[in-house]
Amino acid sequence: MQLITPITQPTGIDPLVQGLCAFLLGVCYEFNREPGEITRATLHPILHSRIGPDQFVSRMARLREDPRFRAVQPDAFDTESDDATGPAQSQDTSDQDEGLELWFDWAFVDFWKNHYCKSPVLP
Amino acid sequence: MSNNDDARIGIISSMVAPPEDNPNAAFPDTPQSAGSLIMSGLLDLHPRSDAPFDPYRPLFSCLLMSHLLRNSEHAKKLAREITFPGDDDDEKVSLLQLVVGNLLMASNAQSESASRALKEGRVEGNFEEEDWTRVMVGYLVLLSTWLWDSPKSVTEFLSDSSNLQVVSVTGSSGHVSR
Repeated sequence: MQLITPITQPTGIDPLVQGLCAFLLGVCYEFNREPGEITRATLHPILHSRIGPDQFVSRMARLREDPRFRAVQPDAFDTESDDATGPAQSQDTSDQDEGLELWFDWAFVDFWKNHYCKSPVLP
Repeated sequence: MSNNDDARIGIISSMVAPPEDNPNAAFPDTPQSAGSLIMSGLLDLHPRSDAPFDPYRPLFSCLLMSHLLRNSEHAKKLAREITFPGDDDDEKVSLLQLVVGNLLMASNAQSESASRALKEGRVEGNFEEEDWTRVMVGYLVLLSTWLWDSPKSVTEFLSDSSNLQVVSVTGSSGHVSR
């Protein structure tokens, strides 16, 4: 009987996490403006080896298109609504409709949408 | 509160308009203050043994904290100045450092949970994995909001090279080993 080695790598990285990490790295690069040990020149090769420019763009797109991200509406926290799971229900019928599927608030989604396209596309 | 969805939503909607002109109000350390509730939700990933782990607690704390910091360099500065006693008497740990540390913890917990599921032959959806994803999303949202348009916060984040590593590796392989 063959022994199966437990796989330590996770089955796949959640696109939300991937996209947010990429965004955060972009923010670190973009707003690294103070003089110091780690300059943009230092950061550039590190980011480039981790994420190429194409990957960066595609990860932003995947985040944006993720149903959990798209589902967030401005009135997500309207307590007058009888439906406490309002923000959770996306238009996709394939999503779970039980429980409060909260991932983001509108403030962040709005903030992100306004700024992600300004993230530096690494040359 | 952590098991009552309606109460959580009620509290959040009452805090959706943060007092951006008075960020001080968010950070007092008097017990039961909104600030200390947010802090404990943010930092405490080890649930009491009698309560199941609720990933919404750190997530909500992160979203609330992000609200308080968004677009306010003053608030971000105050947040950078929040410290906690470290393991050594003379050592202090910054909130930023703790948040990155928790992101790392959540990432590792998620990897372990995934490995365990595979080992046990669980093929259906692993809810624990999703819980940790939720926690990680929260911390990443908080960090993105905090560092956005805040060179001083970026500098502090980058001052510890392991912080960059945590984020780079979490986003690429999901498994961080130190």
